[in-house]
Amino acid sequence: MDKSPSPDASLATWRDDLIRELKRRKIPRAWQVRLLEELDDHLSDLKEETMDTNAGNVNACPLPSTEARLGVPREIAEAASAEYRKLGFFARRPVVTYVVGPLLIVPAAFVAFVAFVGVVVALVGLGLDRIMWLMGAQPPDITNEAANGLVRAAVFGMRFLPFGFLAWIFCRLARRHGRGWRCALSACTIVAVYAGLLSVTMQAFTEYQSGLLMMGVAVPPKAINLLQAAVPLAVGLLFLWRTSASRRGAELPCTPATALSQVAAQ
Amino acid sequence: MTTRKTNPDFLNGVPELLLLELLARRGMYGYEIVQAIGAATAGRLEFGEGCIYPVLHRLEAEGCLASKREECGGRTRIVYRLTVAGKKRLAASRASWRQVAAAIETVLQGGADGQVAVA
Repeated sequence: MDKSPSPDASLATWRDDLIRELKRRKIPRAWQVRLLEELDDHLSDLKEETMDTNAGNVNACPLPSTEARLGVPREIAEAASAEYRKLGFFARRPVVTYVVGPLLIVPAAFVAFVAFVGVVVALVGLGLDRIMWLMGAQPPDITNEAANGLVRAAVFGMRFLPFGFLAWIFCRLARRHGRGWRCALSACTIVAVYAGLLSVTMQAFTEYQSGLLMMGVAVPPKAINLLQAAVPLAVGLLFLWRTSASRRGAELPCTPATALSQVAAQ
Repeated sequence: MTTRKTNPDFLNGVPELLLLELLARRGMYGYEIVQAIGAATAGRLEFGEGCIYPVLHRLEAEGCLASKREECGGRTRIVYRLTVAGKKRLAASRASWRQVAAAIETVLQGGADGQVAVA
């Protein structure tokens, strides 16, 4: 009596072995699910191929040979582990990169931007006359209006530029790592929330009183806050539109016959 | 159960080049890619067919490939296509491969050592 396992039992064992090997190597669940889904598809194709070869003699389909063609579970799991380890930190940790990252980086980047703008404004506003003096030229007569205008422009930039720039960075990172729109939009949403909460109030300086710049949380938000939040969201939506447009442009007819004929022709 | 042993050379950078080159021609799903490799190399490369998927997933995570679920042959498949970053990677990999192949060819012909070449 033949005690060899049935093809279905053998296939199930092969699959269980693979799952065990993948888990043992701590491959992320999303990667495991995707790999198993594609291997199942591949197995179906191999079965169809074998059935075609055997010309209707379905009983002659040797399932173990299809499993053998896919490879030993340990070997596939090793390949999955090796390829996963080749990825950089940002590609391996989407939650850290696109959720925790923006939560921590946006305030820090904003403070850095404000400090940078402050230094630039101070250099331009206060140091220009000294530079001119060193060069032997007549210092320009900067009026209060001009100086206030410069600070106003800097404050206006503060409301939009750092948030738009950060949203662009996260979208670019998502695109580079093939993460798609979910990661990009989640990062942009976090950036937008920070941008929408920012309140900046400026009091112009005059001959009689010094200037004042106050920053805080906008509760309740005003129209300008909504506009601030709209910038990073617009960057995210632009990324989404560009991604979908490039995918539409890349779509090609898909049949195995055309693929093989094209490869053979080349 | 007999199993197909993976050719170790296939796992050392060669699959990446092969996959990028074939996907540069058109979008394909896993089984199609394996068939295309077989057709393009006249079956000279032996490898566990399941081992191409981790390479595809890594290339996708690196942004070299984009995948999309599509209806192909009555089933929904994950079809891979080369991205702009993938085209750049392919160009670099091609150049690197040709350089290595040329260097090895030189060694095999004894060209790197003047004495051997003359002899």
